[in-house]
Amino acid sequence: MRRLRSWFSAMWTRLAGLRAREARAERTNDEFRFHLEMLIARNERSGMSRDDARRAAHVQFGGVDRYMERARDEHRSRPLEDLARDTRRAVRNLVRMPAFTTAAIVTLGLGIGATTVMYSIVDHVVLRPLPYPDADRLALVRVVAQELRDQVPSLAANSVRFLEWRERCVLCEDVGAVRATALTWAGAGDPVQLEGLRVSANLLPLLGARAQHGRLFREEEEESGANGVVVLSDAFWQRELGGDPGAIGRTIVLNDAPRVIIGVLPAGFRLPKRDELGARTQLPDEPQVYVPLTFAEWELRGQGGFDYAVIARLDPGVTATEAQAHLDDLESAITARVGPGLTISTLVTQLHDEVVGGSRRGLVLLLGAIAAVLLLVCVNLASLLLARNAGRAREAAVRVALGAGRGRLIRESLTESLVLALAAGLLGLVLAQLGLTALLQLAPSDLPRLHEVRFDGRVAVAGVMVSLLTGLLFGLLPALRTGGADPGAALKSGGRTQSQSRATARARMSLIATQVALTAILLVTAGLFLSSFARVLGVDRGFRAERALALDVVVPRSAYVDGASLGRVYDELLDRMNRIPGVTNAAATSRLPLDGLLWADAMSAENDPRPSDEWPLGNFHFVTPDYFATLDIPLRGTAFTRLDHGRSVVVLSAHAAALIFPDGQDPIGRRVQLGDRVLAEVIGVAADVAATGLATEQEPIVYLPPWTALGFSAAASVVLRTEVEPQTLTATARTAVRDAGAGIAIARIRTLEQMVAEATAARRFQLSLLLLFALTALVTACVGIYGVVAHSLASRRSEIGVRMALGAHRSDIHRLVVRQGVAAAATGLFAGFAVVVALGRLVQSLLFGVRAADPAVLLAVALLLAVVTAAASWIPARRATARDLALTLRD
Amino acid sequence: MGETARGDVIKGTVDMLVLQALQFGAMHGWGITELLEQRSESVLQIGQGSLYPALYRLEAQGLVTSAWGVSENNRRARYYSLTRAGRERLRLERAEWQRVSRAVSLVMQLRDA
Repeated sequence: MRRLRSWFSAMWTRLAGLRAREARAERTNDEFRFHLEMLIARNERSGMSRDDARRAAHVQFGGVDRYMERARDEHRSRPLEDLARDTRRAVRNLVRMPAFTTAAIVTLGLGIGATTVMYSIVDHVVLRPLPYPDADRLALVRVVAQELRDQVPSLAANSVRFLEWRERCVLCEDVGAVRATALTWAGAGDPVQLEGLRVSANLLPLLGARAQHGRLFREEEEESGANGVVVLSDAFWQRELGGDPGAIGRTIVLNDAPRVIIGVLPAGFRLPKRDELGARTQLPDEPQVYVPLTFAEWELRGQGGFDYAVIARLDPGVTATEAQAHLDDLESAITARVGPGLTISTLVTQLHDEVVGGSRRGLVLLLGAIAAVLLLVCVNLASLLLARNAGRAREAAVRVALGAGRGRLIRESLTESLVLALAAGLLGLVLAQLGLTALLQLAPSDLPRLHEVRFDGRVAVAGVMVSLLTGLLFGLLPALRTGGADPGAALKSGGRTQSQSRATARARMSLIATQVALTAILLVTAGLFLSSFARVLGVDRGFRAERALALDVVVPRSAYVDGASLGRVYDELLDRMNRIPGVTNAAATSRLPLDGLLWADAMSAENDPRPSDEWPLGNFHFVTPDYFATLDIPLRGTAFTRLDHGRSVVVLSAHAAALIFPDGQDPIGRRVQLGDRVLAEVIGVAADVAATGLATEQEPIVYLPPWTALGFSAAASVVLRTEVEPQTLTATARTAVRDAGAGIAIARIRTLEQMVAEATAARRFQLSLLLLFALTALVTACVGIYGVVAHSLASRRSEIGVRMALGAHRSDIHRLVVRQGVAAAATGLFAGFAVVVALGRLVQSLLFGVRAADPAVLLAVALLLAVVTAAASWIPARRATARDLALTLRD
Repeated sequence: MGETARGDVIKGTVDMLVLQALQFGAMHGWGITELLEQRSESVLQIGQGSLYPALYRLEAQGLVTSAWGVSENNRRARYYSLTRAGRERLRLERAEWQRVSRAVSLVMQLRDA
């Protein structure tokens, strides 16, 4: 206890000592003075004269300073006080040089901000495990059909297989399935189509979901007849039911059938979305409702529909490969049960890889870009500090001569760098917070796991770590140079020897070259992506997107009995649309361009001798007669009209025609076979349109009239060609749909221009990021080059003075400096271009229509950097030579 | 000054000597050196370079406290005094010293038999 107390008082003394430094110094002085006087007095008493006494006392006392130092050492807690003193001095020094300090903090802050933003995106999207418990045991199971391998590398699972796997897979803890669905809800007001998911009863628990209210599905609810239940998403529950817990137990009507609300999912829960799971129909981004999965009779026989995303939780320690082998073994049993059909093998992959995979390459590229920026910033700052310390060499030399330890000088330089780094780190974190918020607004909605990205502790720590590492990295270099200063040489007039000058000049040039090289790499990359993006935008889409409105609609089951009556519903709807003032054309289609594919089947010329599984696959779109006119798709021949009703006719896209009739003959008038069933006459050939994306090859499309045997489905898109701005007609269009009276629900309304923009969203996002980094790099390099040149001129003042005294004009000096700067930049450019060309292959897959070593881009970047370097060299040169000649020489 | 053996005082014993000197009352630094010098018949001469660091050390450890006072010749001087912890430490140090010095003596008494 006593020891504890004495420890406390010792600590207290130390801490109190920090604050009482001044008082202590004074006290020590007084004490020593007293002691000295007593010593003198004693000397006098033993017979010395006053002066001798004093002298002897002083000799005996020794150098007071040294003792005071040592005595003081016993008092203070050294490390803390040293740090405080060094920090105060560092801040004072930095404030004395506002230009340098601002430049350093801003460039480093930008770099750290950009790193933190990028890291937080990559961390949440790629690095972190999926937000489900034990996510590394989750796997996606798909099938591969040997016969369809070329066109369709993998398929979603079908119903039969899912059920077999669930029952028989011994390596799986559980197997669940999910399918997209759309349900019409006759809630308040107009019927609304809700995006939802049909899930097997075990899927939600498999993913670790728990209901926040109520419960989730039970196994028996998969039976049709017992499946009149629904689980709500939190968003739907909050929005439509006011977040009322009493909603559990109430009934809502979905697709004309009542369902009891049994539970609500938590707010943060999400399945992977869209095409991340490879289901034929894309999963919705934000499912509103979840209903139990029930299989129709026909799905349990034969092949069933290949439309189920199957997620399995494997037993601990089981790899995807082992599971795949096991499921393949089960195949033979399945085929025995189901009968011959396609040759199926399974494909089991880690769920994490599936969700993240596609975006990984793009994100890694961005990570590389950010590493380059950070490196650039470090080099930049190292050079700024180096240049500045060159100017302080004399001061350092004097201090070394007066006895300051080399360690102390290094420590002070380091502290300065650390203060800079921390200040910049703070700025960087603020910028990162703002930047992340802004970027998330901009980001395309199909960036996987986007909703998980947030600014959190890990990111902040990364930011500070980067800041400290940078501080240490560039703090050491100048500090070591300062510490190694040879006092004698520095104190000599002029301040440096010839060889030192040359070495410094080389160092300067290499700093400029490095900054230019890194900037060049970033600029070239950004330029390539910009060029690529421009090309993507310039792709001939095959249709006109301006002034067009698209409505995705769903016709409820109650409105029709068969294909013919469904057709009449659409006819009625289109009539109403046509009557809206401002609408010139209206048509319906099963799939809009760029909206993906719905149905692929084999197609061939009539009497094609090959068996049908060797025929090329085409995509089948059902369109009403006015479709081509509405979308302004060039058409050769004619489109089908109502007069063709009942006839079996088709229009082929150019690519489809080329596939079916490779001999190049005119397809019009000839007949084609579709699937195994339909024989139709070709009456027109339409220009290709982009079906899945602007950058991919255009798909072969077969356009069928709505009265064809298979006909429209209940979900279609209605397109309106308008004379006025399409948004202005949104309300009127809605009214027209309501007035059609069939209870048609609208899933989405957008303009075609919006649709095109969405298709390019991912590229635009990537491009924005790259441009941001490239711009940061350019600014940083400018500042860096300016700083290096300015300070080199400061230390070359006498050289300049001499030159001018010997007759050089101001412009000669300018030219000299600019030439040296550009020469250094040229070296950097070569290095940067070499790197770009070497790494080109890695980037090529992300580019469209542009070679990785595109000469136009390289030339543009070279010119830009040359101009920038020249300017950044010329301005300080001008300022240096503007001074009075006499002043320059006198220095 | 008479014959003095200006040997280095063994480090570490300075603390003990200072504590001992303060045992009977508060003293200033000069007083402590005087006392030790006189008492040891001028053998132990502690310079201010060793004394004051020792005093500050002891103070930091909470074994002595100090306060301003007025000296014999009406000068301002800093007086040091023992704390309870200081007394305890003195007791321990004395016991240790006696133990060690007895051991050394025993060894040094060995002669060629």
